[in-house]
Amino acid sequence: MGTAMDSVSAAYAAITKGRLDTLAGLLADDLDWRGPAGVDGAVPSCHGRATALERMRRGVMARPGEVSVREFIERGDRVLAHVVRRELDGTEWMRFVVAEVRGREIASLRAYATEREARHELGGERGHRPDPGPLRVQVIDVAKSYGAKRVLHAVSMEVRAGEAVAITGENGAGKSTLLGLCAGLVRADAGSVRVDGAVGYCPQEPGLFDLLTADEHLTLFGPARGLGRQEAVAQGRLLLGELGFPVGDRSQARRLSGGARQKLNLALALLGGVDVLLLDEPYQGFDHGSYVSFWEHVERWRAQGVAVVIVTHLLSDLALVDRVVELTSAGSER
Amino acid sequence: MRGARILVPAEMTGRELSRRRVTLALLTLLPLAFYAALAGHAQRAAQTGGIAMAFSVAGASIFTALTARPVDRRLVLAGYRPHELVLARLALLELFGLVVAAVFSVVMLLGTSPSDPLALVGGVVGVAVISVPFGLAVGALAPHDLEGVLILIGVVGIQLTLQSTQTLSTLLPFWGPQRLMQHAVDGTVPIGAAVPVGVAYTLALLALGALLMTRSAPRRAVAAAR
Repeated sequence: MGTAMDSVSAAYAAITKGRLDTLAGLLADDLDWRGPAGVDGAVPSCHGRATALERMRRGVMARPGEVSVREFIERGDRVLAHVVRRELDGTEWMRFVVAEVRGREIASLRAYATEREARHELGGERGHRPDPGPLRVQVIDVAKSYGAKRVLHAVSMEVRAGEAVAITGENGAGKSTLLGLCAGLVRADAGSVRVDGAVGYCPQEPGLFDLLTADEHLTLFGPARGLGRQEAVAQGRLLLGELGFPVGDRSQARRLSGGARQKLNLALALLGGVDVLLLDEPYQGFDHGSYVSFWEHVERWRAQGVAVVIVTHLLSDLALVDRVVELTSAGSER
Repeated sequence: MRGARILVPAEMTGRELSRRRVTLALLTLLPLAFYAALAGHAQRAAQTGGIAMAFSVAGASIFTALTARPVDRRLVLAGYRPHELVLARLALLELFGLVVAAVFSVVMLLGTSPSDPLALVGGVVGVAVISVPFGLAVGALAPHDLEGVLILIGVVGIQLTLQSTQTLSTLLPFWGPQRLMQHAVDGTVPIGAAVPVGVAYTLALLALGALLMTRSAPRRAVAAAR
């Protein structure tokens, strides 16, 4: 029988291959699920069965007796895995595992009971980020109704350069409306919205011409950003390549997969460089690898001083941003 | 760079339109079918076929405007000005309209033998020129393509049923070209104010389309909305 660390090394190999189900199975054996959090775990008596990757992607809870990895974040030489074990009696155990990696070896592994602690441990490098810069987005006491239906009431929000803010709330809470207000697509009934700097807007539904290719979209958006034809295509291809889009694909937009359309959508929002990035659930259709890569890019944009506003309904995203604005019937809460 | 802000959207509109081959074929065949159906009545055929050409050019303009609407908001947000996009589409669609008009003029000159060929060509070209701002205005006004098509069918259909000498016809956008075509095949109807009225209608429709598009464009979120 190998040591717990051997298993964790194998777990990391599984992570890098995107085989989260395998990771879940390994961690099920290696973590002290019932013990106090914050210690290295190696209790081999816990048995669990990994959930299928697809079920995790859909956000399905672990079945009784199963272990699932809901989220995985890689940041520099550290990784964070959000692991859930659900017992047959319905009890649910969660651990946030932070591993430090050297090459393909795990140098250390710690499990935490709260995401905050794990994020603090994972985000050591975030402490080196520059302080938030100037105010880029300021929303004060905004209200918006569609007919008799009140969508937003007394909502306020601020985002500074280098910050990432998530907007959450129930369906119909006005998340997309608030983002539309920031983009200037929607006019507020009351209150004020101020946005400073070049805005990149990525709508939930890709606003694309079905019969144009990715390169043609880049060419079209280029002049709007002051880019020449070749410059726009070159810069756009670079962005698309970073997002995992098949660069050079001459397919028309209607023939692209949902994820590929969304990557093009995102690249068009970023083209030419932006100060404020407004993203409305930008990763719909992304596979897991693209989703993880997306959040790495968010971190990079923040480091570059971009103010990022993300509409999301995924709780796992909330740990990845600086602040959360939750829209409720009473207004906004943080 | 300023030229590119009109030329590039115009080029992409052309690429998009040229890939709708079936739609383009149907839009071109439709007025020819109207003309062919009245082949035995040369005078009536020229007017009907000429006005029916509005279905082609205005139809293409409506679909172009409606297809572009969700993208236009992003393009304006990215930095285009609404009037640049209007000018780009206008240029491309007018070019398309003139090509259709050229084909149709040849067909009608050969099939109708008008007494004033220049007036006939002028009428056909007039339909093409007015159809573009008409289609762009309807595309900016109509919430969906169904409503847009119904407006198109309504306006062009009524114009088709009327003679240019009838009062109601003078209020419709294609009265000027209709008058020119009726004069070309009849010879007894004076041209009168057909040309200035056609030009005025073109400019008014263009202004309306640009105004509607500008009003729906994103606005920089800096002003208080109290």
